[in-house]
Amino acid sequence: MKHLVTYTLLFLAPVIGFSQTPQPKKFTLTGSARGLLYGDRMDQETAVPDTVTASRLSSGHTLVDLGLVVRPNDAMEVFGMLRVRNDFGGFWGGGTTFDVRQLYIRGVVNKKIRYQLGDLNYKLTPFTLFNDDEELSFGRTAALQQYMDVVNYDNFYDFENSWRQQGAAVDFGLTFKKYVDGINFNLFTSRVNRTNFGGVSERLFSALSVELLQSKYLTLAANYVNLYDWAGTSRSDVFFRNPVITGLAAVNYSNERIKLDARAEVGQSNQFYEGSDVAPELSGGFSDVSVNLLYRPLESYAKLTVRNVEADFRSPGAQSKRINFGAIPAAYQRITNEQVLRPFTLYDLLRETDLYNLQLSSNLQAFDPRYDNITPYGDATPNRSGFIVEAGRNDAAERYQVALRYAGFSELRGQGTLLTKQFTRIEAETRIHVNRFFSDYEKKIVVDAAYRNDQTSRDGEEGVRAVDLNSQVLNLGLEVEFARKLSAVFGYQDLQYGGFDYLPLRAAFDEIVFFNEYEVDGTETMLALGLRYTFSDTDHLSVQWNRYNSTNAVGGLIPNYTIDQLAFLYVMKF
Amino acid sequence: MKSRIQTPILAALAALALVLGFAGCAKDDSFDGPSLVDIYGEFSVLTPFAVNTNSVDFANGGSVVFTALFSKQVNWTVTITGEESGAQRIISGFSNELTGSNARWNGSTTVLPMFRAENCTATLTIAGEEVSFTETVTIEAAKVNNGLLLTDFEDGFPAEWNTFVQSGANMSFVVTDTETAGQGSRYYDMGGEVNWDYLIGLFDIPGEAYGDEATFPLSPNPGNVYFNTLLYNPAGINNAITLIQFREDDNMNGTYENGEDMYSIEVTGQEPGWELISRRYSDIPTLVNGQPSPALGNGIYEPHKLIQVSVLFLANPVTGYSQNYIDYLIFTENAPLQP
Repeated sequence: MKHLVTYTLLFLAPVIGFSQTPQPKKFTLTGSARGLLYGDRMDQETAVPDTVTASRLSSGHTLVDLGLVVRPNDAMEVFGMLRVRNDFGGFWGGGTTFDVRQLYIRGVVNKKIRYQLGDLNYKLTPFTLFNDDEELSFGRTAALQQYMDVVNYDNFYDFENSWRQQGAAVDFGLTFKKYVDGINFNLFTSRVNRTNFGGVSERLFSALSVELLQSKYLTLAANYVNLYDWAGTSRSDVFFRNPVITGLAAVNYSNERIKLDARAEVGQSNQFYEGSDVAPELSGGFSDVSVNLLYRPLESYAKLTVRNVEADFRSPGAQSKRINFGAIPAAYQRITNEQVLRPFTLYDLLRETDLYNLQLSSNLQAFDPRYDNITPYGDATPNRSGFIVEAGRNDAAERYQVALRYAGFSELRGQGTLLTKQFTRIEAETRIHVNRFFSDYEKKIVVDAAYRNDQTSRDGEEGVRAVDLNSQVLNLGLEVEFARKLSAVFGYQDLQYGGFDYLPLRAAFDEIVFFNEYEVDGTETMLALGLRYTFSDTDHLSVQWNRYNSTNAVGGLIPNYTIDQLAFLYVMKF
Repeated sequence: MKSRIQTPILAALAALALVLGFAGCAKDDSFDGPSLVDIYGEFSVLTPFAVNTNSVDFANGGSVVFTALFSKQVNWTVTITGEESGAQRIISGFSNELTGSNARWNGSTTVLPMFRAENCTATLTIAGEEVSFTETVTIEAAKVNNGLLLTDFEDGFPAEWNTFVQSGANMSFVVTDTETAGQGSRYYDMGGEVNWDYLIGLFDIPGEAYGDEATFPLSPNPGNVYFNTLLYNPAGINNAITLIQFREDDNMNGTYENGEDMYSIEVTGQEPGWELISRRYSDIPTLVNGQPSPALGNGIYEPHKLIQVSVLFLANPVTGYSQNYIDYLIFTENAPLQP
C-alpha cells in the first residue's frame, strides 16, 4: 500500500451524474414540461364495414415534472421530483394525477466515498447490466424519434442504456503512483421485487465492479452481478439465484495515423432455484471480443467483433427487454365487428409508455421475431455464435457519416433439432448534413437513410419445414430548416417481413415445452410530415401528421388497416 | 520508447483476445425442447404392431412383449382387455418404439377386475393419429401375487373364519359367482337391510388359521407390510361402510383384550365397480366411531402380533339396503398389491 498516495473520487461506470457546478446553490429548481395531443382516425379493410369500433380518437395530456435539488451542505444532495399530469378531458381535478417521479439522496463521505440512496440509474457491461435499445430503434429518423424521446424520458431509458433501479450505490476509487493509475470500485444493490410475505420473497439485484486502470493503454475489470431472492423475507423455501461473473480487458493505442481499441469480455452465469427439486440449473458462458481500428488519414474505421454466448447463459440485468410483448395497446385496443384484440405495432410503440418494462426479469421475455429475431436480448442474446464486421467513415468536417455492418451468427444449440439456425444481418446507414457542403449556407438540411436486412434460415428435415424468415427495415429522413429555427421534417419507416419459423413456448423455468408454427407476411409503414420550431436545444414545438399502415397477407383476425395521426408536441426542459 | 514497447504487447493481447473469441464456438450435440420431428414430422409405422407370443403363462413368470416402430416419437397406448373378465391393462409411453423395456405385460391389471385365464385383445392407439392395431393373447394361467393370501373365495368361505350376520331383510352374506369377481370367479357378497343398527354383518379372520401361532405370519416391520383387498360397490349403492379392523396381541398371551391395539380401515363413498384397497400397515390409524383416536394399546405397529382381522359391513340404519362385495384379501411385503 505504499504506492497508495491518495483516495480520489472517480465516476466511471455508473450513470449517476453529479453536478459539477463549482459553487452549487442551496436550492435548484429543475424539471420539464410537456404538452401532447393526438388526433387519430382508423380505416380498416374489412369485407363488412366495422360498425362497432369508433374510427376517430383523441387523446393527450399536459404534464410538468417539478424537481427540487436541495444541498444542505457541500457533501450532500437531496433530489425530489413531482409529476403533475392532466389528461385532456379532465377539469377541476378530474383526470389529474400527482406522482413522485424521482427521489434520492446522494453525497460524498469524507470526500472519499460517494453514495446514493433511492432512485438511481446504473449500467455495467452488455453482459451484466445493460438496458439494450428497443426493437426498431436502428436508424430511426428525427421525425419519429421525437415520439420515442417521450417514451424514453417517461421510462428513464434516456440515461445511456442504464436501468432505473431503487436501492443504494457506493462508488470510490484509489490512485497509485506507479504501475497502476487507479482502481475504481462500484457497488450497488437494488430492490427488483417486493415480498408479499407469503410465497414471494424480496428479490434484489446486487453488483460489484472493480476496474483497474493500469495506464491509458490497458484497463482490466471484473464484474459480479446477482439477481437473487432474499431468504427469510417470505414463507417460501425456494430461492431464485442468478449470479454472473465477468472479466474484461481493454487495450487502447493511438498515434497520428491510427487509433486501435480492443476489448474482450468473458464470463459465466449460473441460474438456479435453491431449495427446488424441479427447477433446472442453467450454466453458461460467453466471450465477446472486438477490435476497432480508426485510420485517421481516411477518416475511416473498421471493427470486428467475435461473440459466443452459450444457450444457457442467463443474465437478467443484460437480457431484460424494454418492450413488454405481452402488453396490449390503449388506442384502438379492439377492432373489427368481432372486437378482437389488436396486437401493438410500430405505431403504438412510438406513443405508449405502458408497453414497456421498467424492471429486470428473471426469465427470458417474449419477443417479436418480425422486429428482431437475431439479437432480441441484445449482445447477451443466448445461443448465438458469430461475428460482426463494420466499416465506416466519419467526415472530419462533420458533413456526413456512413457505416456498413454485416453480422453472421448461428445457434450453438438447436431448438427441437440438432440443426442450428443461421442468422445474417446487413446494415447500412448514413447521415448527411447537406448544408455543410456549402460554406455560406447555415440553415440545417439533414438527410438520413438506414437499411437493415435480417435473415433467419435453417434446413428442413423429415416433415419439419425449413426456417426462412426475413425482415427488412428502411428508414428515410429529411429535415430542412427553411426559416430561422423552423424546420420541415419528413420521416419514413418501412418494415417488411415474411417467412416461417418455429417459435419456442417456454414454461415457468424457461424450459422449452413446445414449438408453435409461425408464418408471417406483411408490412408496417409509418410516414411523418411536419413542422418543428426549435426554441432552444431543450425546447421545441412540433406539429406532425403521420400515416401508419399495416398489411397482413397471411390472414387471420386482424385486417389491413391504416391510422392517420395528427400530433402536437411541446417539450421543454429546465 | 514506451510506445515502442507497448505496441507489440497490445497487438499480442488483441490477437489473444480474438483467439479466445473464436475458441468458444463448440456446438452442442443436443437440442432444446421437444423434437420438431416428433411434433410436426409425418407419422408412419415402420414395423407393424406385434406380440412375441400369443399364449402366456403368467403364473410361471411368463410375459408378453409388444413391439412396433414408428417414424417419430408419439404418445402411444396399448390397451389389453380380457374377453371374459373385462379386466384392462393399459401400457402407455412416449417414444418411437415399443420394446421389452417399455411395453412388457406381466399379467397385471390397470382396471379391475384382475385378469383370469382367458382370451385377451391388445389394441395399440396413437394420440393424434386415426389408426389402431390389434393383436390377441391367450392367458394360460393368471398372474400369481406374492404375499400372505387370506382368501380369494374360490374354495368357498374359509371354515376357520367366524361370521355374524344380523337378522335383517334381504341378507346375503354368501360366496357367489353371480357377478364378475374381483379375482378368479367367486367373491363374497355382503348385503342386507338392518334398520336398528349400523352393523349388517361381519366376519373375523383369526391369525391361527395361517400357521401354528395365534398371530399372522407377517414381518415385524410395519413399514414393509401392506394389507390389500378388492371391494366392489354395486351401482346405486351409496351408503356402504366397510370397516376392516386389525387387532394386535400386544402382550402375546394368545388373545386380544381391552387395552391392546386395534387399527382400522374405513371405506366409504366408493364409486361403482371393483376397487383396490391397499394400506401400509404403519399408516393404518386407530379409529373410534370413525374418528382418528389415540392408540388403544402400546401404540406400536407390530404386524407380527396381529391376531385377528375383522371385516364389518355397515350402513346407516335409516338409509335402507346396502351391499358390497369383497374379494382377494392378501398381505404383501415391500409394496402394495400390483393386481
